[in-house]
Parts: sequence; structure tokens; C-alpha cells
Amino acid sequence: MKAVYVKELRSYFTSVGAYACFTLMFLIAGIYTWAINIQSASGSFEMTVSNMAFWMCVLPVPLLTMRIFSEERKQKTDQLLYSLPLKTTDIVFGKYFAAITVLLVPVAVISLYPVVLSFFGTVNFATCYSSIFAFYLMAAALIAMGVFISSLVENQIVAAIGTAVIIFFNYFLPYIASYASSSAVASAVFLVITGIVIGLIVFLMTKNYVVGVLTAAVIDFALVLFYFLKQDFFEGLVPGVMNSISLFDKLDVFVGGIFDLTGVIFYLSVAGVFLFLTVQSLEKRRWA
Amino acid sequence: MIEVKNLTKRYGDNTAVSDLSFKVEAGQVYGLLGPNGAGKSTTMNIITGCLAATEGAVIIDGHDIFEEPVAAKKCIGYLPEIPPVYPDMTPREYLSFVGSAKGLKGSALKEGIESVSQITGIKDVLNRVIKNLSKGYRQRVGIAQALIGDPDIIILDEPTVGLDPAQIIEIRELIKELGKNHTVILSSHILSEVSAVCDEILIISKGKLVAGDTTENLLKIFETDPVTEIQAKGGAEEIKKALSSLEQVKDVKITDAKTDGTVTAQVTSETGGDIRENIFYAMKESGCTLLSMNIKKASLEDVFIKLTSDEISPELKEKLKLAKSNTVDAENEEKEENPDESGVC
Repeated sequence: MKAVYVKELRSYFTSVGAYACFTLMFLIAGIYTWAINIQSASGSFEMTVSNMAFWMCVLPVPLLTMRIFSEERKQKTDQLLYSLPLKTTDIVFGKYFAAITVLLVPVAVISLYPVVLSFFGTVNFATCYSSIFAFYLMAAALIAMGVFISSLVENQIVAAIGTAVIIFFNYFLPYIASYASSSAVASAVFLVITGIVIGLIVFLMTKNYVVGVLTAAVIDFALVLFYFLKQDFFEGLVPGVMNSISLFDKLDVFVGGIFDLTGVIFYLSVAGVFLFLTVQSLEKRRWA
Repeated sequence: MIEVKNLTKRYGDNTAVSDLSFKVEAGQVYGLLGPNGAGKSTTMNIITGCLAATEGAVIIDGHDIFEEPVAAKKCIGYLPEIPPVYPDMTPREYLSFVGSAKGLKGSALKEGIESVSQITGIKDVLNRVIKNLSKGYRQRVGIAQALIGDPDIIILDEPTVGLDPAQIIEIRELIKELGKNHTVILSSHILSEVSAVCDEILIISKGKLVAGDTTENLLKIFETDPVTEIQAKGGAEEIKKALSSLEQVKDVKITDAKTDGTVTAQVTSETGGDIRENIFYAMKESGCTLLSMNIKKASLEDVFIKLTSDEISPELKEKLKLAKSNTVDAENEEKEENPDESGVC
């Protein structure tokens, strides 16, 4: 794992990727700090973190993750990785840890902002740093999503757009949820569509439409069965689920001054699930 | 060293490799030969663990590539068809990545990089960025990558593609040198290359192994009645008559007759025995001037074309089968002689 990690870190800093990401993040952080802290003479940097979180992720995260696997496939260097005595988990974790190490640089620099602000006003350091910490964990979870998407497609632009769309969608989930119908039928229909989407993803990973269709069919059949057995379970389910899978929503708990352990575990689990899926996607590729 | 058992790879309805089985012994250079799309690269990708097989098994030095991939891959250095180099790295960075992924550390890693760059002649470009290197140098970096860590088995997919003639000769010498203490498998569709460096040849066509033997044995199977091609000055009919009258001659074919009286003829004679002397005297007696004479031998090209053409004649199949069963018998005999060894296996 160390070999992949070192190689990946080196490639970030010898290409434009990491620097473009840093530039963007410093620009965004600068604008928000100026608008929220300096313009209105406020020392609450946690509000800045909360407000800029979306822009700090939607562009920089795809920049970090888009080439992680797509580029390897395009240049046929994935064959090298497969033929070296490395486990697939070594490859995935090596690359992932390199990406979150790169992310540590802007986060470390931004961590200096509250210190600077404290010279001119009152800063609640505990809330500030727990927010920055939560932001880092959230971004790390989003990076895991980006890594997974990069492992699915060969074109890095497609990988970048896909990741950005998912981050965008995730950010607006609570807003969408507030408009979503909370009736049981709507929930069931939504879940059936989700089942079909999962089938589609399985198809993309396996290139086997029988498996894809089967996955969708099993999920949807189970859902319909469950719907007729226990209808009240579906009442208000979709808005509830939407709210609970929103990564950005959890961040606001930290901003509110609570160090939320469930939030930490949630972020780590999201990262874990997507890294697991990445390993599966790479393993599947060999069976193409 | 490597045992490939009933290997099959299907992409949807398309079968790339079908029921391929062969054994590779230690310390030999093997040539995987076949026309484009025969399944050479697919086979190599499966052996090196880059691809999974639909059916079958690959055992490398006692390790199944699908069951114990890391242990099996430690024995292999692989150069795929397209050298898998990172364009933004220098060869030194690249080799240090591959070396450390193969488990080399510290001074061992440094020595490894030194020795492989010495062998492949990339010392001068070690600190240049790979994307600025020529195709030939990239290929060498790719070979260096396969050699680092000194694996027992080296698998090279078309190693001389993109190199200039001098480099090709160099790489061939290198492969011969490697063959002394490594097992080498290389694929190629260049026959002269294979016959120059390989001890054993495996011919693959449409995903199937059509022949696997030493170069000499393959040529022996395809040995036909010797044909002597002659050029002489004189009348075509006259020459034909004079040649046909010779005792061992089976058939005379006039292939070319120019206006200046130069006639080219192909004389098929019985197996064994050189008839060139007799031809000389026959020409002399008939008053024709003999210009040139040479015996045509079945070349590897002929073998290749015959084996990979759509239809292999039943006669040929019979010959190949005989050759195969002979080797099988020999193996069985060996096993019987050393019952202890086979017991260990």
C-alpha cells in the first residue's frame, strides 16, 4: 500500500491536479471569510465553514478524484497495477489515502484562519475546529464517492462531472426532501425507481444485463411485497431517508456546537462503503 | 514452472481463448506465436493475473494465480503490449514505485534500479520525464520494470515492437541472456525473432494451441520431399527432359522461362540424398549452362501459415497428434521412472 500511496502523492504534486484544487479552495475560502467574517466583523468561523462547504467540495473533490482510476485505465497502466504483487485493497486504499492527504494541505491552511481572526475578535475555537474536522471527514467521504465513480468510467471528464453531479444532488437533498411527497405510495414508487437504478449500476459494473435485471427485480419485488404487508412503514419514508443520507446536513450539527459522534461514524461508514464498492468494481473489471 | 490448464476466456459470445493447456519448464525461452487476434495477449494477461479466466487454472510455481494472486505475482515480471508507464514520472521514480510495490526497500531498491537500467540501457534517461522519451526508450523502461526485483518468470508481450533494428538485436541478445537463469515467455508475430531466441514454440490460432514443440521438431514435422530450385540457360523442354531422366527425381516444374534463355525450374526429389551433383552432370551432358542451384527447406513461415490457416489438412493433424502423443509418452515414462517425485506433486 505504501508504494501506491507514495506514487500517487508524487503524481498529485507533479501534475496540475493538486495545485488547481488548492487554488480553487483558497479562493473560495478567501471569498467566504471576507464576506462572513471580515465584512460583518464576526468571529464565528464555523459559519464560514458551513456556508462554503458546498463550493469547497463540488469542484475541488472531482478535481482530486477524476483521474484516480480513469487515467490508469486510459493509459493501460492498470495492467501494471494488476500484475504487481499488490492486493486490490492496497491499490484502492493507497490511492484514497493519498487523495485525503492532499486534502489535508488546504484544510491545514484554513485551520490558521480562526487564529488570525482571534486577534480581532472572539473566536470559539472548539466549535471552529470541530466544524473544520467534520468538514474534512465529509470531504473524505465525498472523495470516496469520487474514487468509486472514477473506477467505473474510463473518461476522466465523465468521472469529474459524475462526481460533481452527485455532490450537487447530495447538497440539495434536504431541499428536495421538503418538497417530496410523504405519502406511502410515493415512497414506494421512489424506492422501486431506486431499485432500478441500483440494477443499472450493477449492470455497469458487471456488463451483464441478466445480473443487473435480476438485482433490480429482486429489490423491487421485495419492496412491493413489503409495501402490501406493512404500508405505514412507507409513510414519510422518502423525505426521512433523503434527510438522513445528506452529508451536508450532518455538518450543521457540528457548526451548531455539538461534536456529533454519530456524524463522525456516518462519514466514516460512507467512505468505507464506497471504498468497498471501488474494490468490487476493480475486481469485477478483471472478470469483464 | 507455469502450468496452464484448460484455460478458456469468453467475452460475451466471443471466445478469445478456448481450452488452452500447456506447461512451461524452468530455464527455457518460450515463444507464443500466432496471427493478430489469436489470443496471445489475452493468454498472457490471464497468466499474469490482469484478467480472470472464464474457466481453467493457471499454476505458477505452485501458486494458483486466482487463489493466491500475491504469491504467484511475486514470481512474475510482466511487460504488457503497451508499456504501462506513467508519462509524468521519470524512469527513476517509476522504477522505484514498481520496485517498492514488489517489496524492495532501501539499498536493495537502489541496486535494483541500477542493475535493470544498466541491463536495458536507460541509464542516460533515468532522470528525464517519460512522456518526453521516444517509443523505443519507453519500451525499454517497460522491460526494466518487468526485470526489477529479479523475478523467476519474465513475460514479455511483443517486446521488440517500436524499436529500431539495432535495438531489436540488443533486446534479443538481452532475452537470450535472461533465458540462461530465468524462464521467459515472449509473444510475437515476427517469426525470425521467435526462431532466433526461443527454445520452444507454442503456436496459437483462434484461441487454441495448434502446436507446441521445439523449433527443430516443428520443422521436422513439416519436412516434405526436398525441392531443389535451379536456374539454367537453354531450352525449357530440353532442361525438363534432362532433369526428369534422373533416377531420384519425382517431379520437375518449370516456373519461369525468360526470353534470354534463362529457365527456372523446381526439382522435387526423393527424401534423403543430395541430387545437386547429379543435376550438374545432367545439365552438362545436355549442353545447358547451369547458373544456380539451391535446396529449399520448409521454413518456420511455412509451418506458421499451414498451422494458422483456416483448415489444417487431416494428414497434418495426424502428424501433429503423433508428435504430441510421443511427448506425452515420454512424460509418462519419465514419471514412471521417478515415482517419488510424482508423489510429491
